Amino acid sequence: MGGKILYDLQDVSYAYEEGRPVLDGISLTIDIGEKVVLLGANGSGKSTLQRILDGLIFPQQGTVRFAGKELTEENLEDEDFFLAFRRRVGFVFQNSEAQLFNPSVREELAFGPLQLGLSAAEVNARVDSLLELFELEDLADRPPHKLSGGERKKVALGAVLASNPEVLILDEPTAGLDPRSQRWLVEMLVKLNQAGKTIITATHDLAIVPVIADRVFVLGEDHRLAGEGSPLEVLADRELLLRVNLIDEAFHEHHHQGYFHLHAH
Amino acid sequence: MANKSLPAWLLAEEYSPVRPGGRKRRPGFAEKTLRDLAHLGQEVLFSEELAGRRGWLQDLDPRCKLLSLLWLMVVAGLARHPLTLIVIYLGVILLAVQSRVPAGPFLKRVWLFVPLFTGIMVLPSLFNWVHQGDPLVVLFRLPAPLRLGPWQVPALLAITRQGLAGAGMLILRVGVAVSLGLLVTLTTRWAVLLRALRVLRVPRIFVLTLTLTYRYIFLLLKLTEEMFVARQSRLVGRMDRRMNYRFLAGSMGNLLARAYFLSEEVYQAMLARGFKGEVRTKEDWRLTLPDYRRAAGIILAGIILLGGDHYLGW
Amino acid sequence: MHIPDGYLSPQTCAVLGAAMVPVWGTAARKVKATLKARQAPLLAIGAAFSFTIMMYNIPIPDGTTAHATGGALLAILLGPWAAAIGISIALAIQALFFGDGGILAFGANAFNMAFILPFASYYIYRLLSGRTGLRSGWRAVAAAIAGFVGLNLAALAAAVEFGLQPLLFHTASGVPLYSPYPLALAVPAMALAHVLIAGPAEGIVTGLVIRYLQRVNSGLLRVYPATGAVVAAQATGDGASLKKLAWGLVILVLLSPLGLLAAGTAWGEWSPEDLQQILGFVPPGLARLATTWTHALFPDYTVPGLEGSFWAQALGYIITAMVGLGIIFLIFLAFNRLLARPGKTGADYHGK
Repeated sequence: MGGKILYDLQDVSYAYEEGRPVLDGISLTIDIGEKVVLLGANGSGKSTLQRILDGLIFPQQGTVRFAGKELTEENLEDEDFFLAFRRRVGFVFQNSEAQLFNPSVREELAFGPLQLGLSAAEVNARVDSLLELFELEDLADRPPHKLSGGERKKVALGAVLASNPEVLILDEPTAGLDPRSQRWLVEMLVKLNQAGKTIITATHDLAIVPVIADRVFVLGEDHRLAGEGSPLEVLADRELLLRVNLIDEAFHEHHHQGYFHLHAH
Repeated sequence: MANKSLPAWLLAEEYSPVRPGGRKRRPGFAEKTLRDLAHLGQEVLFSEELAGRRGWLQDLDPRCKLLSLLWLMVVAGLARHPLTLIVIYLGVILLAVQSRVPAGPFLKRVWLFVPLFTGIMVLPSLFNWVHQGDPLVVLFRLPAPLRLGPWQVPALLAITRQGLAGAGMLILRVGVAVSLGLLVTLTTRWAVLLRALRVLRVPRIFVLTLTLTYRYIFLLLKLTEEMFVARQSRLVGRMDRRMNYRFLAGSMGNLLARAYFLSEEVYQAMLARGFKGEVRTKEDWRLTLPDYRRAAGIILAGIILLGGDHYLGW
Repeated sequence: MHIPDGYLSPQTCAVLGAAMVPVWGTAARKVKATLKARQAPLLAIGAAFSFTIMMYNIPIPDGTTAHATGGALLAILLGPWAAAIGISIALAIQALFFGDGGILAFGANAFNMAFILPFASYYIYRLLSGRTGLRSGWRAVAAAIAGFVGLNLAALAAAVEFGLQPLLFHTASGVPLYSPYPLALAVPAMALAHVLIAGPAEGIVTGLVIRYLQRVNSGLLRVYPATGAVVAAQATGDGASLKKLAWGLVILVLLSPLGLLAAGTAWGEWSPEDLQQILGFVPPGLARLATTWTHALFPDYTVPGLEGSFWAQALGYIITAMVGLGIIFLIFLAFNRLLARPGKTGADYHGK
């Protein structure tokens, strides 16, 4: 890849409570159009890092740059900066139930485009094409909370895509999904990446990593960056995965089969 | 299955560059709510940490503590002389120091908040136009009493002795009461305080419900926070009022539906563990001699203060 | 509207807390009859919901934000009795653990927000929505009005509690001991704040959520009143619990002169002359009202022929309280009549 730099993080630290950092001295860059995975065990700080990338929280130390501009609380208080940034970055939360608040799937999908000030016809066209793309036509008028987990995840992704962001941040997107929904989601992410979107996924699901990553950042349980590299490099580094507690001694045989399986679509 | 191609609008787009335009965004209801939620979380952390330390009040049996501090609140409520309130407050400070409650936050939380709210609220009562009394500081004198519709305004505008004394009493009393409440909160763990409520003859079902509520509150607050953060991250344009209301209705409705579902689940889980609607709690606290001594000390101090207050009269 | 400690005298708090005891007792019994073992988790969820809703900042039409209590919403969804318990618990947690609202003043806060608010809102909602369908658009409007009016009635109760303080509790030289504003000021000030800010917030929340639930989750609108069997249980349970409620109120009425013992001045001395002295000035309108009130209804709040003695004052106090309660009872009876007529299920089960 090696294109233009989109995100540039220098020495980023964050603590919810003083003395207990969730992120400690993280430095990394993400290029435009790249697909990266943040890999780490539960509690390693992946979600916090993603919230920093989405400008929802701000590090106590270090700097975060997006497209050359620093992401600070002060900058995001500026109306133009805020809207331009939100427009370009979309976040799919792990708990899609919390993300959906409209009375029907159709309205959920229309929420973003309506804010963009598109005409009613344009909004409808967008919503219809998304419903078709995501095979949600039959559910269009159902309230989101009555959907299954997989359907809900689709709606959450669709709702974010509806305003056509440049960057997609996804927190544990495959957690709790059945194999079919997982596969659908992973393929959709690949397709979106091929269309030029930058995809940043946090996961501890090793099986999907080779498909949805050009580059992998590994977060350790000490909340520091424990390693980075191509998916093959990282997944082959058994010692690294053991050190950050992503696998245990018994894991050995499974992971090769696992990802090659998925890779062969 | 995912063979469908992406629609054209989803493919490429010229994004406007991110740069400040110089116009400040006004923090809206969502930011305020998120800030309140974060503040609440910090408070809980702060008090749980303090309650875990060792200290005079922390070591006191929670039932004794609740009753004796409640008694002090009643005494502070009944006091008619400012000196009584000042003495109680000195006692409160002493208790706080003995219980290793950090003085800074303890004083700040009371004396930043109380004068600000109570102070503004009592301000008008200083003047004789609102509350009659002996003039202390005359501000100005009109040639004749004013008639404003049904109201008659006296010619003299002055700060009165009664108004000033009343305002001082109120601020002092509210400050002492809030400090006492804060002492209870800061030196007792939630779970323990809930069980201590049994001595106040609070029925078991209420205490059980309180305990469950405490657990759920954090769940619902978490859900609320997630909904508000998700909304923030999905703001790509200006929201008008209708959209804001739609979000509010949706998030509250969602919260309610989730909460209701949760209560069914919890009920089934309780059934599965043999709950039949009757609550049995383990109550194995034993009062020790120091508990009696400390509680008796506080209660006696209260009685003496009440007597002194009566003697001072006013 | 969370009254902190120090604004109300402990006596006032005690009287209002005592008034809540029969309400809580009856509510616990009623809820137990209808919800059985399910009560604890459901009530806890209701309380947690109420607590969380109080955290929401609601944008109101003037551009600022305000907090709602969610009490009207809870009353419409779970019924006024369950709401009374749920809100009380939310208030208790706020007072005990977050210093929001006083600990001694808990009884007063519960009286305003966990008794007046849910009951007023619930009956206004039932009255307004009448026989309209569960999904009728009018119901959301009715809910909004119920929330608005309910909250303002609760605020009125708080204002009266505030307003009584300077009359009942002051030193010999006229220094007010608690909240310094008399009724003539406390009521309009509270009314202004609640009609313009808190009331709309409560109305908006109640109406919006009901409308949302109508579209999305109408099952939640059917939780209360429960149908069939449960209604029967309620109907039969009514007699016993009402009797106990009545006893509780009788005790309260008899205890009411205690306030007389504790207070420096008694209501018996509360003539326009005193008002003149206490207030500094008497708005002519109020003076007229006071004259009518005191002389025509209850001359000086004592029974004619018994003036003067402490016991006379006490008796006057009791009679006044009884008349007040009687009026409240009549209002509730009228509501019950109006509500009972449309669906006669309850009466039928009762007859059997």
